[in-house]
Amino acid sequence: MRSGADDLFPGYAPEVRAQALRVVEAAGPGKEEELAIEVRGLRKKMYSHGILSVNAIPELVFRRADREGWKNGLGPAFRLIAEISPLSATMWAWMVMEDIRGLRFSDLFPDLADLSGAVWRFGPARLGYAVWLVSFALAAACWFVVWTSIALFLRARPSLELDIPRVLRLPYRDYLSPLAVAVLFLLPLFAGFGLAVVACYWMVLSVAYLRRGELMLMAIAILLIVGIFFGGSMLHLASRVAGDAPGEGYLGVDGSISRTWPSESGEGVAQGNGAAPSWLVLFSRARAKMQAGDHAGAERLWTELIEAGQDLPEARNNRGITRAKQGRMRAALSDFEAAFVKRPGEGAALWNVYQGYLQLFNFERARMIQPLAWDRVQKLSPFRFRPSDMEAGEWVGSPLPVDELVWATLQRGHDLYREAGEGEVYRMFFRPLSPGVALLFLFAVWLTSVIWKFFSLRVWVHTACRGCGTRTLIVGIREASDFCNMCRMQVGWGIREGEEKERRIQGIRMHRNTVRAGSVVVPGSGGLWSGKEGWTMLYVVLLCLSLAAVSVSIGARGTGDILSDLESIVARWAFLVTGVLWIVGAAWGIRSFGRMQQTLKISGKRG
Amino acid sequence: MQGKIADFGIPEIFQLVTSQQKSGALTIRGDERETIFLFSNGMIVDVQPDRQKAPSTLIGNMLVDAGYLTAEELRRILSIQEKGKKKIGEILVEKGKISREKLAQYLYLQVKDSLYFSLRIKEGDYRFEVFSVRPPAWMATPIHGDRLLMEGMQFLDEYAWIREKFPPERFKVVRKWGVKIDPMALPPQEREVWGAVYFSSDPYLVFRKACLTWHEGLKALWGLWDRGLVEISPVDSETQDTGRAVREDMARRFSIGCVRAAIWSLAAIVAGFWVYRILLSPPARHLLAGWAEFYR
Repeated sequence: MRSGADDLFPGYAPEVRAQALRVVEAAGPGKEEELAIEVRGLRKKMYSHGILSVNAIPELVFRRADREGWKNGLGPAFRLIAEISPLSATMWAWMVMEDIRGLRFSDLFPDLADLSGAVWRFGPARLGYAVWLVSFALAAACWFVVWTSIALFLRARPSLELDIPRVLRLPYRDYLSPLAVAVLFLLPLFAGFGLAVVACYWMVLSVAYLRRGELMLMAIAILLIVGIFFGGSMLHLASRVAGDAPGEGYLGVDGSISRTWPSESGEGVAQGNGAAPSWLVLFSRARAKMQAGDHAGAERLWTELIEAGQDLPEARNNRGITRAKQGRMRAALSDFEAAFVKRPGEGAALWNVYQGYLQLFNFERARMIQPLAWDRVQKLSPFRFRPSDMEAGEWVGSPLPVDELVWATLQRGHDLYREAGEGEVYRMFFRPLSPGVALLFLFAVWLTSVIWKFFSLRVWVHTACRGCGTRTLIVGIREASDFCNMCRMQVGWGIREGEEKERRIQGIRMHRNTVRAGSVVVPGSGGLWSGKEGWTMLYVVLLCLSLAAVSVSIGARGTGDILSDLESIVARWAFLVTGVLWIVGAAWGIRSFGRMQQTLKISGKRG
Repeated sequence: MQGKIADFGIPEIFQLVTSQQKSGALTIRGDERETIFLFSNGMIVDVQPDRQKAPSTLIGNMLVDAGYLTAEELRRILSIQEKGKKKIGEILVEKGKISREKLAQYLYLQVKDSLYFSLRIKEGDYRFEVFSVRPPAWMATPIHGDRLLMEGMQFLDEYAWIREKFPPERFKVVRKWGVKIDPMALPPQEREVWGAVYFSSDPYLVFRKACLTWHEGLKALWGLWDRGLVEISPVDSETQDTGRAVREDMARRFSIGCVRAAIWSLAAIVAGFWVYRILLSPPARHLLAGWAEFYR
């Protein structure tokens, strides 16, 4: 039993570990009363050590429920467990999901507030949320860049199939030109280049044949690649700030203490990379010692921290708890009062002052501050302190000051460019470029595109009629329209019978089939052929957001925990939305192109 | 007024009607055709070609040859015309098949075509009946008969000389491959022909598309040929079977289309696999789902 508790709840004081195990075992359908008793027992033991949350409990209960088949009845159990695991953001997310599923709007908004509180106060949750936002934006940007570069290449393909063989002076052009252009298209893929390089290569090849709206899409794609560069760097920086075990270690000390963290050998785990502020790591070490029951050791560390200049109200409050646990109540009270003076809004310190006066039998002072202490401690979201149930000796600890993380990250802002090349994102999307030249490369791509676009207006290049696919050798600057003469004169229906008509009909049909196939493979690309770049852009943004939701959620599944369960649902919905958007985009592309042909009387029909 | 063309030539008749600013109908019979010109105060305002003998100069057929109408559309419009009393041009403009300006251009071409043909008649007779004629609505500026007559005489003088430059039998015209030219640098009629060469290799249809008479068109084509912009070649017996040539060409284009489709399908599969590898494969998933580690 003990060894089981050691494995499941490493780092906590032995009596906390044992009681936590009893809570997990007590959970079950219809066993709410039994569970409530065990939760009350654990809550008392947790508070006596200044422990605020044991996030492993909801995870273990969830796994049990999943294994035993009562996952759907987890709601009541989680509502009780919420008192001892308030910092478990995944548990709150699961409850929000259940509220939505059961249309329980009376519970939904309080649960959302608690989820928000957990994300705000729990270090890994806040940093994880920031990383999720960056990952989501990065995935959406990647999809946008991929879509744009392929769609623009497909727009330019008919013209490239004539211009490239013309420049290369290829023989058997009719048959070899598609092959030559396809080889050019696939070349960077076989070379193993990253997404950014491949997309830039495709866009530079296409730029001479694009309309103004399409050039806008291309410019946005290049800007997004710059965003991917810095987004990757942010992810790398966040992982460095968080340390090797982002959910545990120094960051997760107020919810999930690492197995190795409280021991002396594990003290350097998160500090080793040097990205986290050393005083924050010291704060975590002190909190870990407190929660493990080593109050003397914890007091030494708190004192070290305060003497090192980090005289924070949180440090004072926590040192007060360690002193109180060692029986030095007056010293403890002085720390609590100092914490309260430093930050009068500090609810935890005020509660502890109140408790301190009670312990010293100073009921007069205790009575004076009781209303305010009770009020403040009840308002600490997502914690659910119930003063009327709390007994003497139940202290309210101060968690890791997570706001400092933001400052720590911002202070390393100058590393965004310097360390970008070391991130996994850079290695995946920017190979074979060396980190120093990535932004230079993107600038060169932009400059080349601009120069080539202007140059292409003054030299002979082929243009493919958007309406019928007829390719004409023109000088761009003299050609205001991207429709051929026949489409402009609207002779699609009026063309005389005979060979011209047959050839034109065949050309129109082949072009239509090409646009349709393109619109199915790259949904929405038909909108570019019909000249609706604005609507296409709007559609692509929606498609890329849903694809990004797929990308960031499918990788989080399969581990059997609460998050995995939630992400399975998100991934399922994201797949569904993507599928619907794909079909809508393909149908819209085909339809808008068809309507354009109809307007221009390009029927491709006989008679 | 009536008489024989041999006694009083067509140019003289036109000069007389024009100079005296007469209104009425001049009917010219000869070369098995009967053409009626309508004058209003000495200006030509309309022409009625011979429906039976010269169908190609009827406005509907001219527009079909120029690609503005299909034969089927013309048939439908003619049936509408039979039911009402409107002229075919009015119906075409009302239905939006052709603009009023374009109709005016082709009606002018019809007058020119008929006049140039009439000028070549040596044997036949004419009759001029005087009555009041109101210019039709399409005619913004009535045609000066004497001016047109002078142009026609000049073309007829030059025609034999120009025609002998071209192959004596049927010939076809195509743009020379790879030629680059600014069309604005060309004289107006050559520019029109240059723009219409894409329409057909048959010079007659090219001239119809360019809205020029045969004589005008041939002269402009000679100019383009002389500048090395087009290629003229006799229509050989093989290509005279246009149906076969078209079928073969279309089959070739279809096979090229199939090759292209196969190549790009393969490329799409490779690109799809690449997209999977960079954004959905396990390493990519791991990268983009790194945020989940913060919650475990």
